[in-house]
Amino acid sequence: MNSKVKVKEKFQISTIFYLAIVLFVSYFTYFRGYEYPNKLFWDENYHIASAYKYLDNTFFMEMHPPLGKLFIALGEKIYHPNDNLDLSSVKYKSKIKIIPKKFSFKGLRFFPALFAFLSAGLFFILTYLLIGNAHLSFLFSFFYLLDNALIVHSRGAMLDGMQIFFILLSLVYFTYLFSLKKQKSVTQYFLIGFLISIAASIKATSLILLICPFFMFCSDFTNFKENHGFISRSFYTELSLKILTFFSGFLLIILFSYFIHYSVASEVRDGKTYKVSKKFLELVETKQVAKILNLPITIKESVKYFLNYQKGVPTLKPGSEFENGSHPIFWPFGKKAINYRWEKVSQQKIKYLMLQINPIVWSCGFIGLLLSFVIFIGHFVFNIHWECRKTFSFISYFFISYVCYMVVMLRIDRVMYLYHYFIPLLFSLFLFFLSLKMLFLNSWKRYDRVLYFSITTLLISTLICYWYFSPMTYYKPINIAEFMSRNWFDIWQYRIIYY
Amino acid sequence: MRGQKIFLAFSCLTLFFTILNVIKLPEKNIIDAKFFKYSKLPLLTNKNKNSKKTLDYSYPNINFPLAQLLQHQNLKIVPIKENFRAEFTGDVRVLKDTEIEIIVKSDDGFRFIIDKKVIIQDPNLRKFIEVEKKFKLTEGSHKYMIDYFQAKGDAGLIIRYKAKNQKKYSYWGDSSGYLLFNNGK
Repeated sequence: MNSKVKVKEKFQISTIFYLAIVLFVSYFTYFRGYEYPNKLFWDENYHIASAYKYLDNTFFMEMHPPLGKLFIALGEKIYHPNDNLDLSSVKYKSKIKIIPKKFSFKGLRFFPALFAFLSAGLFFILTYLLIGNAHLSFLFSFFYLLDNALIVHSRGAMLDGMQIFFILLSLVYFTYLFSLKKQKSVTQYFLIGFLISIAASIKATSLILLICPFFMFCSDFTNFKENHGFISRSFYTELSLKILTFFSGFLLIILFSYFIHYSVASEVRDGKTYKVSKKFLELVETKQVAKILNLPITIKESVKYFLNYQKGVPTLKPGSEFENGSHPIFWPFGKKAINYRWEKVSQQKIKYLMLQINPIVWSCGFIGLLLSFVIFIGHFVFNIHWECRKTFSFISYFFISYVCYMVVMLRIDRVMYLYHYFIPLLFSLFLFFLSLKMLFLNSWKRYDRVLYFSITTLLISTLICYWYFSPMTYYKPINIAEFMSRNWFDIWQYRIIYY
Repeated sequence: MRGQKIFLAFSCLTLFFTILNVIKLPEKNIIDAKFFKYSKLPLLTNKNKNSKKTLDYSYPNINFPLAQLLQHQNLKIVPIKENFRAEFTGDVRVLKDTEIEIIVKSDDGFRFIIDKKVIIQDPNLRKFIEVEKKFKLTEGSHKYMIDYFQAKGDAGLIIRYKAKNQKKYSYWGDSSGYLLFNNGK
């Protein structure tokens, strides 16, 4: 065995070892005890109601695509811990108000928590593919592992934990493909479309990933030109085919998830028809919806419902004390911390479950955004040629994706919440890692102690903040003074409690 | 190399800021507060009838500016929204016999008691306007109680004081040259 192979093997072993540690820590921060609190919080009352409709084959229409809720229902189907309970307050409801005593969330929260737990591994792999340093990737993974806001939201029976998993999976595959210095095959385009569509079938905000294929086309264009010196007609023919296969892969899962939705949720109950057209209702009642021939009307009705639903969502009321939403411009700073639920345990102690950010993680994301902006502007305005072209391409990808996502959010009229920033937060964290690599390229290569010491110091701060805010992440009792002392910045707007 | 040093300085400052905020002790509050929730108008005359004690808390001083809710200037905590009564109690040590001038602004009613003697009161629905009173305090320790109620609408309670020879008013709860709160501890 020559020395090169030995180094490679050792390197792979260390990478797998790091991956194992990341998953081990993730189990404790994301997965362990996910069924607690055994009370509803935030949007669980909608998603669990939807999951039970799947289990009871009740027809319903909902704003979000069906795949995420199908996973929630699948978890309940696997564990079925509530079979012996009177579920009359849960079944056939649009929104659950009361849950029965001894109701268990073990099945309903299983898949969201599982995917969030596994996302840590993907975060590590993606960081490794981006920066090419296993040790630093391992250290950077703690930004995902210890972010209180991501943890608290992902452990609920909600869609975001699952969505993030498939976004990271798509990005891992995209990063791998983008790093290849050759033309991407038609199959690879199909696969990336397939992966993106899984994320988009959970939550529509995943559509931001549609920027990926555009970058792949650009990469193919550059590679082709470098290899052939010109762009031939065959390139455009092949490109058209790739675009076609990408969208085939993309539509496949989205349509398939709606197909399952209408196959499972097929019985109209309590006269709830969700204002669908007569023709569509007939198809539902005769169980003809889930047929390829009826696809156009199915899509039309789903889009119509989505648009109507959006019209009904209230707008942001910034002055209102009870407003949980916040303007997207303030999301990078953690506005607004949402008090998901609270419970008085004694005269002095109260339990809070709160969407509270880890300020160190979010600050690093914001700094990453600023650094990448400087790098980006430096290249395009001041014509600075950065040493590492591949890293610059990734910075461009994440920066453009971040800006596009936020521009869309800023144009939405309805009220939006802090957790809608999770996707751009991940982008901004990758920008932070890539910008550091770009700025400290020489230190990066020679394992400079100062750099490692600085990153480790940041991680210690992250760990302290995680521990400090964890009572509000895991619903543990604290007194009011302790609670208010955690309101470091007025912008977080801690919610006052009333009795 | 300069970039690395800046990054190192940033990391160390972040750690310093984090530790500073985490170990920060909650402000020492010396006025104990007990809140009682009522189902209807909680006049000070019908104390404890149909009331439910909801929360114990403490405040550094009596400075609750007029707002939609009773909210301390610094702490921003409102245990109850409406129809409640609050008892603020504590000790004050007078260093030398003196005459105290007190100014109370309260919405709604209040009763200011020292050593079980009512000094000034208006136990009715009222607006946030000033009332003042002069009274003598002897050297030594005294127990005080501020009884307050809030029905509906705006709420606020500000109590300021000064000794005869003093020019500036202090909030009740903030020690000055003549009065030391919480026995001056």
